Amino acid sequence: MQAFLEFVVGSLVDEPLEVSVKPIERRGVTVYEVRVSPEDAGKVIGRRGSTIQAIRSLLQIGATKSGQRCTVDLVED
Amino acid sequence: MNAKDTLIQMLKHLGFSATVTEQDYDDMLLLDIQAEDSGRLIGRQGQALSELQYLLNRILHKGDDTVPRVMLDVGGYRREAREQLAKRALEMADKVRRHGDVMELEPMNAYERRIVHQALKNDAEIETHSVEVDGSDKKVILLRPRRTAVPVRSPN
Repeated sequence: MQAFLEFVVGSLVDEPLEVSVKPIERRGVTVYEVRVSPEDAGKVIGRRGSTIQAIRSLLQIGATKSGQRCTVDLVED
Repeated sequence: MNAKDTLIQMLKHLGFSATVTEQDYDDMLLLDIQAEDSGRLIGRQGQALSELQYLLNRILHKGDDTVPRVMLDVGGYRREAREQLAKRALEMADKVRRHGDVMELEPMNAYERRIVHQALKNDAEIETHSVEVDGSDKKVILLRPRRTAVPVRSPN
C-alpha cells in the first residue's frame, strides 16, 4: 500500500522528491502519513477533495484484498 | 510512462496482477482491464472503477493536456452497460414512434446521456432533449416525435 501511495502521490505533484509516506501503526490500523511540498498539497487534495477521496477509496480496495486495515493522513505542517 | 503502463503500475501496487488491452474509442483511449478478483475493481455501481479512472486521468494530464482522456473498463463491464443503454433508448424510441407520446429516461450523467443521444442521432422521426433535474448534476432525456420541417400550408 505504501508503494501505491508513493507512486500515485509522486505522479501527481510537481516536486516528487518532496514526497514522503510514513506508515504508523495505531491499534492494528496502519496510518500512512503523507507529506508533500506546500505548493503541491492542492494537487493531492483535488477539487472539493476529489483526488484524495479517490486515493483513499483505492487504498481501501487494495487493503481489503490483502486483509489489511489502513488509512491516509495528508499532513500539512 | 504511457497510460497503459501507469495503470498497470497502479494496479500492481494495489495487489492486482492485470493485463490491459488498448483500444481507441471516439477521441478517447479505452483501456480494458482483465484481472482476477475484478469485481473489487468495479465496486458498487462502478464507483471504484470511476475513481481509478479519475485518478489515472489526473496523473496523465499533469503538465500535458494533449494526452487523450482515458476511459476504463473491466472485462467489458462498461461496454455491456453501454450496449444495454443504447438498446433501451432504441426501444423507447419505437414506443414514441408508435404512440406519439413524449417519453422520459431516468436522470443520467453526461457520459450516459451521450450514449443515448448518439444512439438516436440518425433517427429521422425522434428527437432527444436533456432536461435539468433540481438538486442534481444529472439530467433526464426526453424522447419525442421530431417536429417536421415541412412548411405549414396556409388554409385557403
